[in-house]
Amino acid sequence: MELLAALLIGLLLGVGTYLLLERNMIRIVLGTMLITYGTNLMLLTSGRLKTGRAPLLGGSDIQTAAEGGGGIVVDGISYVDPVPQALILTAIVIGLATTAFSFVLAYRTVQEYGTDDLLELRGVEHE
Amino acid sequence: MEQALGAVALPLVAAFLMPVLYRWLRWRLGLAALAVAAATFILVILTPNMSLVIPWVSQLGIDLSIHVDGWSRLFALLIAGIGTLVVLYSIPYLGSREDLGKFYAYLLIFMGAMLGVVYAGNVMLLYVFWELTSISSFLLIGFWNTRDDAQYGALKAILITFGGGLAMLGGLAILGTVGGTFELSGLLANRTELLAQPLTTVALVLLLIGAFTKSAQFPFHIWLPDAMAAPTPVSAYLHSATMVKAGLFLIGRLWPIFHVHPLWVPVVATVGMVTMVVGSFLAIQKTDLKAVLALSTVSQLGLIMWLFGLATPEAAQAGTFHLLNHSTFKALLFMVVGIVDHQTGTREIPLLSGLRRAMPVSAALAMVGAASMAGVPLLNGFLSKEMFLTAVNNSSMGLAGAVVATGASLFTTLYCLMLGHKIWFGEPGETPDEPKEGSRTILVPPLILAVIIVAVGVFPALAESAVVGPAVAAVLQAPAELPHIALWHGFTPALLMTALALGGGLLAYTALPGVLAACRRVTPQRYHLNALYDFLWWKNQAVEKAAKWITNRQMTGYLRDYLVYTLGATALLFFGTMLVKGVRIPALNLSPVGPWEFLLAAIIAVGAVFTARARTRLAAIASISLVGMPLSVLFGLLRAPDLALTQVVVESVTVVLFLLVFPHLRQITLYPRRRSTNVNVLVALAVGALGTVVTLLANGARLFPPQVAEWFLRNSMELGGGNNVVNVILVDFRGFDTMGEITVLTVAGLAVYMLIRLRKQQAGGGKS
Amino acid sequence: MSNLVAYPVLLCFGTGILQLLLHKRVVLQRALALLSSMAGIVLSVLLTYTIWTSGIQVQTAGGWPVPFGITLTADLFSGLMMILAAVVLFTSVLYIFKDMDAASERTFFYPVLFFMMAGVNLSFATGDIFNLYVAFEVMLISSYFLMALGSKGPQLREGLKYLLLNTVASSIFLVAVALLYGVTSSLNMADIAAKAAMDPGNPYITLAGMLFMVVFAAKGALFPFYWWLPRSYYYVPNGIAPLFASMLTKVGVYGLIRVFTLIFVHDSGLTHSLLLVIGGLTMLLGVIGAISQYDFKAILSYHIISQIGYMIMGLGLYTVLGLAGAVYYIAHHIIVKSGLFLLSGATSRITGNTDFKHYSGLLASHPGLAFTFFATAISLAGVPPFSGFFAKFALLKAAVEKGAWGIAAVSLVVSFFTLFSMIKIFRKAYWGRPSGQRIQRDRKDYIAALSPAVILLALSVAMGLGGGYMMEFALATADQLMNPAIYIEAVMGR
Repeated sequence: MELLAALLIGLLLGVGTYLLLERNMIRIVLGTMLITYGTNLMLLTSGRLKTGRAPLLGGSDIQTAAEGGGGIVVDGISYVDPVPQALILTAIVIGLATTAFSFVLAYRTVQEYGTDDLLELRGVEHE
Repeated sequence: MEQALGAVALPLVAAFLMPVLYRWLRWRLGLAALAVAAATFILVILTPNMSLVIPWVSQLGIDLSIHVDGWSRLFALLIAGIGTLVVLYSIPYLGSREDLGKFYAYLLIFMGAMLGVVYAGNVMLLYVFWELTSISSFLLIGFWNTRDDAQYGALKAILITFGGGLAMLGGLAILGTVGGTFELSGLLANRTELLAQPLTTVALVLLLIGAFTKSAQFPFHIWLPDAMAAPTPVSAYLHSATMVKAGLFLIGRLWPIFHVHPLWVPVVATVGMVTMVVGSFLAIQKTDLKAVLALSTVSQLGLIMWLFGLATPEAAQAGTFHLLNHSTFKALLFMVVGIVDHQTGTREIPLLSGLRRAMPVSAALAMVGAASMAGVPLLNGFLSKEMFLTAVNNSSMGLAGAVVATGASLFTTLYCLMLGHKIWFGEPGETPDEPKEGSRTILVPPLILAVIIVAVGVFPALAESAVVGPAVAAVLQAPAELPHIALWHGFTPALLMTALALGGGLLAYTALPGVLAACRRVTPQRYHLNALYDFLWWKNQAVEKAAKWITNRQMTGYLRDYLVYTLGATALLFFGTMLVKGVRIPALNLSPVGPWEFLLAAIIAVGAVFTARARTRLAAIASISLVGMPLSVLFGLLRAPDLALTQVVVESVTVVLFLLVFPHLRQITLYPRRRSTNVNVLVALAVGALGTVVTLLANGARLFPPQVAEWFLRNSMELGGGNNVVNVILVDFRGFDTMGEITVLTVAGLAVYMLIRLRKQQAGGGKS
Repeated sequence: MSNLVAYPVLLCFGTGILQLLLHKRVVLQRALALLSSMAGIVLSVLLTYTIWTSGIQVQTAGGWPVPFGITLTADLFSGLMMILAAVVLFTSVLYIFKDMDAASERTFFYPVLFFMMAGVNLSFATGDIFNLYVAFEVMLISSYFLMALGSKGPQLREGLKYLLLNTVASSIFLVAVALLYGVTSSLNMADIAAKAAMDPGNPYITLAGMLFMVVFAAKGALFPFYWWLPRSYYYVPNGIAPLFASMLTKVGVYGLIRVFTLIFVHDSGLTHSLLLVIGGLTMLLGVIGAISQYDFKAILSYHIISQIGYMIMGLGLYTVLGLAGAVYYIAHHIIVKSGLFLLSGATSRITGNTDFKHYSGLLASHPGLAFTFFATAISLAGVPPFSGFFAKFALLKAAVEKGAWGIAAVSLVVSFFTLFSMIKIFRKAYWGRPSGQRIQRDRKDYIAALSPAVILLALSVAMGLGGGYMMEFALATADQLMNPAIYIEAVMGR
């Protein structure tokens, strides 16, 4: 699974970067979003995948998937690493905030300049 | 010790009062400045030989260390003495037309800084004051800054002297590191060990560059002629007793340490010699009186430098004595030229002649000064000139040196005749103003100098015992048998050389137009150093244009370029390090891939590709959701239920945002790429590869057990009171993160509100 | 364990929240801003004094044991940075009262300003690598806001580029955290450092270090990552430009110094030599950019880059004297750079412009402004006896002692060009025949706009004349930085 995740991350980052290097503003914003997805998945993978239960103590009724092995064993039960999940939750929200900001900035820039072409938005110095 | 500190501090502190006092005193401010200068002079006279260290930045070896010996006394007397005369002279010269508050402030800062240079016993402290003289001279030269020539001269002076100062700073850093101290006394004590170090040579060369730039030695002499854009009192001060002498002061300080260094004689003596020749050669070609004087200063400084470069005690004595004499006659000549300029409205030699009838006192004074500079007997210049010729003749340069010295002296005679004869005799010419003698007050300072010139010329023993002798002793730092300075040494080779120089000069003067024409023919105008300077810094501004070219290459304003550099460099650094360190991907602990996971991954991949190919806004939304939604499910499958839920929420919000904003944007236009696509693809591939590699490394290269995660799992229930460990981490264990996260979200909300609302307000305001 | 570490951070957060609640009452917001910025100075000085007397201060947020919760840790370096941030905030606030347009002031300006400073202070205080990321984001999102404030065309355009480039850098930050966490299983910097010390020279840790180098170099505007800075800072409103110019990039520099003196120290032959090269190129290309400009604010913007190079030079040398020079230089730079930006603002209040095409000859009518600028400018160029001289000389001496001739030469050449461009501003703006428009304001207004810069100049002079005390502090700071064991022990206990 890790290998698959790694490849998927590579793809997301690669395509995201490709879009980021475009002239069109929407494509650039889409690129940043793909990169955000990629990094979040990477954080999760850094704590290893599917090595145990989801980090929910006690009640097994809310388990969403089967157990694995090689995780962090507490009281005889193997759990996956909860730390990356916590980090990603923070990162996702921050990513959302930044994305929203970039949307509005992009929208306002297009409004001001009448173009969404970054090449045309190079700007003259000190106008 | 109070006197030494007071002499430095008094002018520096008083300088800041000048602009304030100016409001009340107006033109009388000069008198206040005069009082300060005179008091400083008295303090200088009262200052005994002494050494004193007050800690300052001791960690760097920079202390307020005062060291007064004969060498500093000579300079201090000149700085404060001539300084006082210059202030006196400036009162009638400037009148009440100028902004005197600034003028005297600059002048006093400059005086204090110069005194600081000569009293410093720590070479770094010397440097501190050294730079202060560069800065204050910049302000002085640029005093009439609405004029282009003042700006030109000021910029040139500061670029060259500050540049040289930086070289010197490098030299000092090396010297201090090799010698272990910045104290002059310490360096002197260690001189044998110092000279054994190869690095000392580098330090010496850098220090000499500093001294040469300050003392306007070839090829750095070009700033000095343009510095005359300053008001004449300033020129008289900078060119005679102060600024340019600072370099010589340093040379005198370095002399005892370095004069045995194999580079000393070849470099210092040669540079001095070349400067003397070039200066005198250029001086005769000028038609502006101040320009002639400025270049004569260059030439005379070359002469003194040459003497110190010879590294013999006898030459050092001659150099010290000439330094004193030069200050007197050069200050005098500048003052007289200032009077001529003031009274006739011009400094152009061709326009000036026969002035002696209208200005007899000035004429007499000018003749004394010029004769002294030419080396006419009974004046102080004669004595030191003789000693100079003797020293060169006796030195390792021998006959060749003697010939060059005599030749340069011949040119000296020529420009002295122009200053002392040409403008005063003959038929009176047409000048812008009707010439008349200067006021009594303005004539007093040059008169005092003329008296000194004659007095030293007739009674040299007085000057020798009072100032020159102790100064020479301080330079030599070793007992030496030196001849006494005397009026008459008998018929020596030097006397013959003097006679040759004076006679030849007179002869050339009778055929002046022809000589000048011949000289101008051999002077390359186009390849002159000034042309180089102007090309680089002023007229063509080549430096700024080159900088512009370089900057425009990178700062294109095009986001894609910036991203390519940034990401390209990142990939380069990362993979470069992997290569250098020989990092391999470690063995992985792979967990099995379930069919659902595989399917989801495939969908995400397809979604990513679709996103890249989307041509309409709607397609873009759809395909980005094709990445985000399956990803949230994947998170769920990967045992991260909270992530899955959050991702779904975030995904939905994003789509809503898209729908809100997209109608206002255009459809996705695929603009043709400006640069080659290959680079973009390469960077994209590199970043993708980086992502994959980092993931594998992070996964496989675990060096330490997950102690933190384990603690969280164990204590979540007990300490955090929750069974959802991720939640407990967020809310409790890492609550600070969450606080930041909420702030980020808040600010983003405010931003959206602000950008939209402000826009609406602006639009509304536009309509009403 | 003392609570002092968190106070500067919490003060800014609290002020921001209060101001947000009072967002309709601008006068109250102003009063809060002034009070809070003064309190900030007191608190940060108190904190630094405590560190000076009783060592590195550690505080666990929420009281969770180390290394599990988030640890706030302040050594002398953090303390100094917090003092500087507080001082610059104070003078900026003074100036903002004069120079911010009323519409912007009403648009959540003060709360966001204080949120930004909270992010800045948290960056200095945190001892947790992921929390550092969060602190950066708090600071960045607020800076995007402030940059776009007023929402004029160029602001939006350059703001968007600034945002996108920083977003990319933030993503790299996450990548770096992922790698570091994967390798060490920890987020606490002291814990990570202790682990890195157990396996010195581990290539995976070095690799993570490279990623962090990129991240902080991008935030700190180093070569080859500085592209976002010159143009975007040019359009930042005059009132907050000093704060941006002096503080924000320094947070990146702080991060770089922190991790490359604490965690990634075991392969300094590679990493620190690389930093030295990067520092040299940064200072060179920055100053080249500066001399190519003919605009007050643009020259200053490029100079930020150049001077960051000096700080990294000190880190790259990686000796006590080098780091002390870097610390001294950072302090000097923050004070002087915000002074210069304040002066550029005060000048454009008179001329309505910063481009030299449109005005000249201010010396005759505004000598106070002209000389405050002149003194501050030569301080920047490293002319004695101002603060810049000792900072630069310490770096030069460290380079010479280490035999790093290349960087020593570069630093001298860059000093020369710095002076040239500062003289250019002085010549073009203040010298020459008076020309261009003059916006008439009363004398009181002129003095009020000028006085923050005068305060900063006085500080620069004090830091120069009191160079001995400054140097002693810088050396003590560098000593702590060069001995990561002290930091680790303070956090992890024995």
